[in-house]
Amino acid sequence: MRPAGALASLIILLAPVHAPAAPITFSTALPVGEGKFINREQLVFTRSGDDPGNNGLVIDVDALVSVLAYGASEKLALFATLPYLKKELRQSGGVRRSSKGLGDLTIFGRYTLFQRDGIGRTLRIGAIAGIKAPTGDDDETDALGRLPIPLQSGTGSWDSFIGVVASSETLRGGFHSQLTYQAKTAANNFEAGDVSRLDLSWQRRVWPRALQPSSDAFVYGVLEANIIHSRKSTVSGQVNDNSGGTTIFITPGIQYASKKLILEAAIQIPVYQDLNGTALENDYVLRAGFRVNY
Amino acid sequence: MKRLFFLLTLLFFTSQTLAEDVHYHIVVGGLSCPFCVYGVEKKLKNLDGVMDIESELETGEFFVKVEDGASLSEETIEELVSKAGFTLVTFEAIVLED
Repeated sequence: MRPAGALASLIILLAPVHAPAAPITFSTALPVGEGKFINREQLVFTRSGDDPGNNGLVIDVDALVSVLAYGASEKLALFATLPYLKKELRQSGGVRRSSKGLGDLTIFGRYTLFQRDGIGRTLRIGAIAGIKAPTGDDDETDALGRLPIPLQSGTGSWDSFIGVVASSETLRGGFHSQLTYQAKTAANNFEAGDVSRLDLSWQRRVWPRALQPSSDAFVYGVLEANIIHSRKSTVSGQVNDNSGGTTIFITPGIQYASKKLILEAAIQIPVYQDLNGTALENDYVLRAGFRVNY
Repeated sequence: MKRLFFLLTLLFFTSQTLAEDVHYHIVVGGLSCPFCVYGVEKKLKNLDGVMDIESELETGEFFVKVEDGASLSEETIEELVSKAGFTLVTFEAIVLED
């Protein structure tokens, strides 16, 4: 059941792409105006190919993650996230299995608990909570039979998460952080381990160096860190010792922000992976996308 | 007919000369990037009578020009800025007489 060890990691890596604002790999406390929509589209390429089991196992997940944010009130913002996934598993001996389709829908809300604004600066803290519905197909098959769990587009489970997010931003850049806990439930005799994660993002305006009255677009250099701990999964009630663990990503990136459009790209590099047993390790996650202000 | 046209033209320019040019100087807190400014600008543009908006991100300033006879209240702007997710710092009406 070694591929199952990668399942939690893949879900975790895709799930944070629900933010309409500053950080590239997670959410933010920055506002979505009342009655306003923000759309975010992000391509996420994930490769997990560092196989401690020496079976040449590689799992690629290419995802287009669509996010729609809506300002329900000045303090409450609602978000919906839906990925389209293309997955492929390769193994020594020429085994190759794949799937593609819509993944699970995530809906969550963010409520601003604290807000302090000054000229050219803001500090905000918000609470987030949401659910992931099993909208993706979780019983896909191929010529070899039912696809393994990591290759299914959906998980089949209802999951939930809560967290807190904070943002401090000035005209020169900003610092964002997010702490979340995701509770998983069982489906198809499998239950992924609950996930705790801490995300940090530091941004610095690199262009223009000095603000001018005509400055209506910024380019930021971005450095993020994602510390993710996943508990062991269970299969038919039995703990899978080849799952769960801790991964730390360091994520350099770049972001262009104008009045209506944000373009962004980043690469998540796993600098620390302490995974249990023969759980598949991650090689990299590449992200590129845009956000549109309606 | 020529005389009537002349009189109408004169009346038009006279009324333009005597009209008050009303601007509003609004300062908003919490704006830290161009993406944020757009949210406030869009809400201001949706107000009746607003003709033109200029913004200055570094100082959080918005200069709003309204049509003749139109006006904006501080309460309206405060609510608008708050709904955009930001904080109104100052609101000032500036009347320019030609």
